[in-house]
Amino acid sequence: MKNSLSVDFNANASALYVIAALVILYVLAQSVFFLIRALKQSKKIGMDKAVIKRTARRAAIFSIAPAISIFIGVAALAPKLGIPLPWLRLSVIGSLVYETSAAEIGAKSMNVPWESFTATTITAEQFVTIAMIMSIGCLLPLVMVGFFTKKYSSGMLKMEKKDKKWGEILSNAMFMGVVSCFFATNFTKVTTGLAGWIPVFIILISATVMIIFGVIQKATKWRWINDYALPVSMIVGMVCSVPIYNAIV
Amino acid sequence: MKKIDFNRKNHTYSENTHFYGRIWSVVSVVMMMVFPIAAGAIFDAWPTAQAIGIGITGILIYWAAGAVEFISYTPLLGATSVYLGFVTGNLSNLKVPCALSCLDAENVKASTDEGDIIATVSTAVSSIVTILVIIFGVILIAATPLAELLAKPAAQKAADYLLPALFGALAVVYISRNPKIAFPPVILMVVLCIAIPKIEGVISILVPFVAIFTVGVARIMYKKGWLDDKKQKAAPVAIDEGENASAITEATSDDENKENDID
Repeated sequence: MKNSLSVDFNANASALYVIAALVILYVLAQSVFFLIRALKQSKKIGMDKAVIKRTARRAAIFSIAPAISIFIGVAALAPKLGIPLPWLRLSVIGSLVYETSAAEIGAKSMNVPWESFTATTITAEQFVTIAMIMSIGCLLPLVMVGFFTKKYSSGMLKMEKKDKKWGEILSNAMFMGVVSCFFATNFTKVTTGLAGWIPVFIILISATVMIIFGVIQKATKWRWINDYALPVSMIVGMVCSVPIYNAIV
Repeated sequence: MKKIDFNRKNHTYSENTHFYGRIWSVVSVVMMMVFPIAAGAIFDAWPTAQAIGIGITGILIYWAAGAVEFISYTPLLGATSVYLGFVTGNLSNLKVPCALSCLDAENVKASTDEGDIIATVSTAVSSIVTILVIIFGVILIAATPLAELLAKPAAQKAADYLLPALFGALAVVYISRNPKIAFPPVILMVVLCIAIPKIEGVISILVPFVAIFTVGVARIMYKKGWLDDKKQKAAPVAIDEGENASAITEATSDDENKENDID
């Protein structure tokens, strides 16, 4: 094991902030690049500007609650890994579940219990090992996207064109398959007692808020309200989890 | 060896999407490794081969999950969004529902030209907003005592329950819109998750099988004519976020059902 450090290690070192910022800037640049291309193409094919504006507004509003939640994930990992690494990992590719598990796997690979890590006691070698494993873990999908998207998406397009009606049903069915998996995982703990029902209660609350939004929209004909239905339902569900959790657990 | 044409002016938007998408993806693979390699170089600390070997064995399941995400999400997002979304991440909890919600709102499909543009704008804006919110938060926790507040159980609990809060709301939209397609996988997976709770650990791997199951059931219904517009029964509550449709429609006639994608 190497212990001779050329620079004193600190999980919150300025240099780490700079590297994380550079990689995040690259991802930001990619988003801006594809956004500009899409805007140019929308003009070319004569799409209504209002559609693009509405889409941008919807996406922005929709993203705020999950973004705050992802940021809370950064704050959750920061006491163990410092701020720059979780900031980078959760801003690009990752998700909290994956990053936390990958970090734990990194800790296990060195036979060090994850619980014992803190941002002040972690060594440079432990830090770099965890960062390396978290990064390697996300490479395969990127390689697949780079090499197979063209073939795969063209194949799907051909299939959809062959039978348009079935094409629509196919993509809806695929999405429902995906959604049902994530939806159902909230039921895995219902046999463990009342605490296991908390995710189900949250589902019911956010679903109810969603329905209330629909009823208000129908009664008032305010179409703009639709843009807030999903984000607000999400936030209400998340906020309600705190008193429900405190009351039950 | 095939010569790469760098003059892209005579190529279509779709061809250029793949051309640029591939370049960004390949560079992204390199960029993802910049942080650990640079950190290793700066602090002169490198992982042992053994630790990396054990670590890679541990993360194989995430490679499988990533491959599954690619297979499942590509038909839903369209090519441009796939190139972008897989680099920016947080697909199932943010980018995919966000893009689908935007596509639904305009009543277009990702496989059309308009749909590809809408999905791209949605994914790009969502990525930019997410990155900016996190930067703002990082500045706050680096410079203020907010970190202590966020480390409190209440904030962590609220963040833990993002997924049920998101999928509860989404379920209302999608189950009410396509009840016949939605119920078989939802019932199957809820029963499986209650009966075998450990299934949660391998749920990412199960996704394509459940998707195939759902497509199979939908195919049977389609062939039998159960998904035809006229035969599709009204959902008790059909939510449509479309500008051209009301948010909640207590569908009472066949004509009303035609507003929906499939119904």
